[in-house]
Amino acid sequence: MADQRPHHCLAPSAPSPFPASLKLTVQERQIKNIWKIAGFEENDTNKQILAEKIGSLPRLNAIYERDATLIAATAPMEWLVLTNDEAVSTVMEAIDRQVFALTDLSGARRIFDVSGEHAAIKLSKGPLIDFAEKSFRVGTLKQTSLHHIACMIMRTHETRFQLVTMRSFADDLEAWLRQA
Amino acid sequence: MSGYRLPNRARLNAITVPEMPCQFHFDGKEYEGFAGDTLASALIANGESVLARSFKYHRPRGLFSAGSEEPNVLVTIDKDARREPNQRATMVQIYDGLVASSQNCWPSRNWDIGAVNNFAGKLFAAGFYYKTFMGPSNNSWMLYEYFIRKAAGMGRGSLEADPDRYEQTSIYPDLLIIGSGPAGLQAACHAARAGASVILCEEQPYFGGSLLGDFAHINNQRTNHWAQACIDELLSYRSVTLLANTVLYGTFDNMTFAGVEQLDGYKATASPRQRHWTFRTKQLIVATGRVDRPLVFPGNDKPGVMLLDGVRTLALKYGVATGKKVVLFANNDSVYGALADLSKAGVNVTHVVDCRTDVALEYAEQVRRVGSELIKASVICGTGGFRKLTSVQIAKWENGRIRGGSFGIECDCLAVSGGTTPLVHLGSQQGMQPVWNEHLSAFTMPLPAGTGWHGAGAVIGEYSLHAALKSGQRAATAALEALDITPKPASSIHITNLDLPTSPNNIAPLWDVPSPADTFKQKAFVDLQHDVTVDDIKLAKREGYSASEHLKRYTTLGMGVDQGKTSTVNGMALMANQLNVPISKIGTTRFRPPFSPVSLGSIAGEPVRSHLQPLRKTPMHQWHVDHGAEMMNIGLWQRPRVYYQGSETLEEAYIREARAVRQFVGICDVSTLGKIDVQGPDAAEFLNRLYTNSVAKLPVGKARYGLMLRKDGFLFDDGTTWRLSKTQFLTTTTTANAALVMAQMEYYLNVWWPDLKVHLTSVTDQWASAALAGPKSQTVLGKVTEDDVSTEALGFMDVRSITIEKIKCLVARLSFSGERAYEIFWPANHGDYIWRKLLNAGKPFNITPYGIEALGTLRIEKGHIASNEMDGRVTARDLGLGALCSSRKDYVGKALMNRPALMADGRLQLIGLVAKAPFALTSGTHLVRNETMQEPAESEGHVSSPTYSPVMEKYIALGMLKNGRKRHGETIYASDPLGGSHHAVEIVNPVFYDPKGKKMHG
Repeated sequence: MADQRPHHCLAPSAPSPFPASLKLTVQERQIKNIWKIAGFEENDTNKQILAEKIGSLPRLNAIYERDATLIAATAPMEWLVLTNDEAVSTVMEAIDRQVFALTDLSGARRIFDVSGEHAAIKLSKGPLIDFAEKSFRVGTLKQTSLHHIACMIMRTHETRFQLVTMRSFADDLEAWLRQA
Repeated sequence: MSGYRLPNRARLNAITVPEMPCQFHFDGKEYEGFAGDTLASALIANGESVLARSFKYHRPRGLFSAGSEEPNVLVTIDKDARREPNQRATMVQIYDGLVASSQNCWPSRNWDIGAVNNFAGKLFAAGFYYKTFMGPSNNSWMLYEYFIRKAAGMGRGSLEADPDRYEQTSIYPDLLIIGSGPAGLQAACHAARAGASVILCEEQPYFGGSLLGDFAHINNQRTNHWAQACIDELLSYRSVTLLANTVLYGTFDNMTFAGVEQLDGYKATASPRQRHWTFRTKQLIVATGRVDRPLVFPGNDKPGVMLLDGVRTLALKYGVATGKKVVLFANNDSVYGALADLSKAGVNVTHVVDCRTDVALEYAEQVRRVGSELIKASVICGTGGFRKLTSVQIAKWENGRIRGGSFGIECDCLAVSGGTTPLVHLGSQQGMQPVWNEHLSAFTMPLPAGTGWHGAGAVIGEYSLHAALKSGQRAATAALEALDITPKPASSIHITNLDLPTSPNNIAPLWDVPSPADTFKQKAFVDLQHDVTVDDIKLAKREGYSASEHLKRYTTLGMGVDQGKTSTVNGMALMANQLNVPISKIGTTRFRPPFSPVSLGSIAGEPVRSHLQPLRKTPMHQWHVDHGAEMMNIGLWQRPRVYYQGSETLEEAYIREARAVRQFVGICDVSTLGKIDVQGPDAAEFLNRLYTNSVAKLPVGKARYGLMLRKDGFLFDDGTTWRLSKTQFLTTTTTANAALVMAQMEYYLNVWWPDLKVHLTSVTDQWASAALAGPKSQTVLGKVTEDDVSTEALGFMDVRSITIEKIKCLVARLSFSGERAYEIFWPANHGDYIWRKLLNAGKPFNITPYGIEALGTLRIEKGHIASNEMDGRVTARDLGLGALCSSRKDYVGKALMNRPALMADGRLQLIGLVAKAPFALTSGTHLVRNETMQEPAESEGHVSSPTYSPVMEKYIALGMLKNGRKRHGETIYASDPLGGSHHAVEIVNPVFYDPKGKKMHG
């Protein structure tokens, strides 16, 4: 049905903040290995040990991406490592388990790459998070829930986000994202 | 009222578009309007007069205003499932195919049988319900309520499910501006130029507010063109969001505001139909404007009596005249500005009635110039006509009294203005107190500094166009300073072509006009929506309900859809007069959300149907669906219930599946089991403190069944603990309690034992899992792995890492079914692949996938407990699991588990039940001694888990019964009076199958 709103009215309605013409691209990102590392004690020595093995550690709630590896600092002394680099995985498996807990979550998470000019404003249909660039900077993450599903949102670009969610909920989240 | 389209719409620049006609239906009759029309403007243009019936007296009512303050014309939009009652006709945009109907009338709005109430007006005075519907007995209310409920309310909602989609979103601007009139637009432009992120909310479909119906010029542009230029400028800023058709209905703590955006009008094709916005802003500018205040006089509710601003708006904005002979009645100067505008628009104004004695010469000259007659020092004291206004009675007004007799003049529309009422609702919602401004004769809202709230325009008493624009600029500057943003220099403002002011200057308070002695008494209404009259206010005072909040509740003044926008101030002033105190002493009621009505769908309607709650799927979900599984929701999980074959019934299907497990081998998707990875040097100690049995000495490569208690000693959950290494365990929980157990573990670790070096991770999603059960399970497992899975290498409760097709898996020899069985865990991203491997390997052995019904059957036969038995009221001893509670170590719940009451005689204990006749038992059925269900019986327990047992070939159940363990062999009755069943059952040992465990351990 054609839109019958008057177009030459004195002060017309503004365009929708959610224009249908601007598409949101949702793609699943394939990551071979996902590891969660957590230190049993919070101290700089332990951080140093880990940094020597896997490279720079981002500050809390930030991400660090290099080559085929992305490290997200999800809590004090807790990191999520997403990598397609087998060498990194080998290093991870050799980590001292008296100092760090290491959990393989490769099968437990699915990652969606959400991009588009209006990605931020479209994602704001979900969590009560300020997606403005000054509040949610590129290179940082927020842990929240989207459509009642626990989700970690990483901002990798002004118009690009990566959503990490539990595998069992992923189909439902993907359907919600596509509807948004 | 005899409305019609004005011929010079183009000159008016009205927003309606004649080139785009719309056909719509109202009460079954077809009408034509134009795009841009509201339902109200279109109906008036079609000459309709009676558009509604009043709430209590069913009096004929016509349109009263042109905005969201409309108290009279509430209509029902659409039909069937989309029916939406109580919509203000002034807020409904018409479109081709719109269907609307009047409400609260029968058989029609013109002939309403309910109008008989009007003749019993005395009976229906304020407080009628409270005084009348008492006694004679305490139960009388039950009878009255039936009829009151039938009569109460206005429109009727649909009983069908709402087919529309709603959306919710949130936004965090620097500055939120409510209202896009002159003050709001000016503020938005000023803030946007400085670089602030701005949201501009407008309740109407078009921005501009009063600027759209004005002949004045701002900076040499007509007001509507100036508004258009502002909107164009705002659209050029990326940091600005413009929201039309968006009502900001509520204010909440911490600068949180809620609004609802109506998308694409009321069209059924709109998807989503409405969007709920949560605004969390740093600064707020309230520029909500004002509405005309009615005058209270006898007969002031006739169809044809309207607010002056409504008449003016309809003419200038929609190109609709409300009558052929229009009389204006006011107590302030705005009437002369309106007269000039209406005359320019082509509306025939015959008389202007002004209650004041002193009227400026220029105004009198204006009246003469347009061919009207000015009647000074006079009031309207009555109206003629029934379904439409035909005349008004006029009397002299001196010193607040009618003097002499009255005379009548013919007219079909009376436009009244008793001043204006700034819309202070939003500040009031936050507890800010409106203050009485004697000069303006209105409550304004001074917003305290430092709160982040700024007022602009009428809400702070800045009525004139110039003052409103200036105040918008000032408010924006203050907001920018609070945001640490440097404002740009303020733009200059020049107002020209303003013939006469449209602001209510020189107001002479006029709160109530009595009926003159020479006419019969007519009702004078204060609140049109709830039929509250001047007499009701007087009655409230006599009965002691004189405080503003009491007055509201006693008379219903200010309640309803319009939230008292046109009635509250008049009501408070009348009460002040009754009490002989200034109105400032009375104040207003505290307004509450919503400012304007919003649908429940917008607030709670987003998560519906498939989005009601998120669904969890196992990695093998699609396989189950493809192979005939009936999926059912268990918590958030979707699990296969049974896999139907042919025309099987549910019972036939699960019996077949359970038999196959006992005879050959079955496979069940148990990925939903909660799984928690427990790591750390102190992991063993941590688990040892949680579980009732010892975990500390559990060898690596072994699993142990254990119980977890709540702090109060009741059973919380059960599961197995697998020791994978010295520092790593994998614990399983029931599906239902997975999240609770994880949360409880985190709590203990963080609050009770922060010194323990332990880290927890939920790995429920990491592992796809299957239970491979049955006599042939070992053979099947051996076919998919090269690892040794012989009884010697993988004994009962052993845990091993095995490889299936190069994929590392975990396998534990555990059994829930009572058969030899294995729980196999593999990475979820290989879920479907390994599942198919196992099925293929099992084909020669008649492997059968089984669902949770068969799973339940097998575990009931074996006497294994599940959530049905662990219902939060039982202890480990009640379930016969006392032996699992160590006496040699401490653990959570141990101290309180031994309370006398939890060890006393008479507690419910786990039993088995066998139906003596072939009748299915049902969960929750009470266990009683009485042989028939007719006589009252004491419940001695209940059935917890019933099934048909293929092994016993009988209906059996687990249940909880008083002193049950001592009563094996007794006969008792499973009674369900509501369901109409009463069956004899024998009490037996709860382990029906292989009590010595030979099959399981073998």
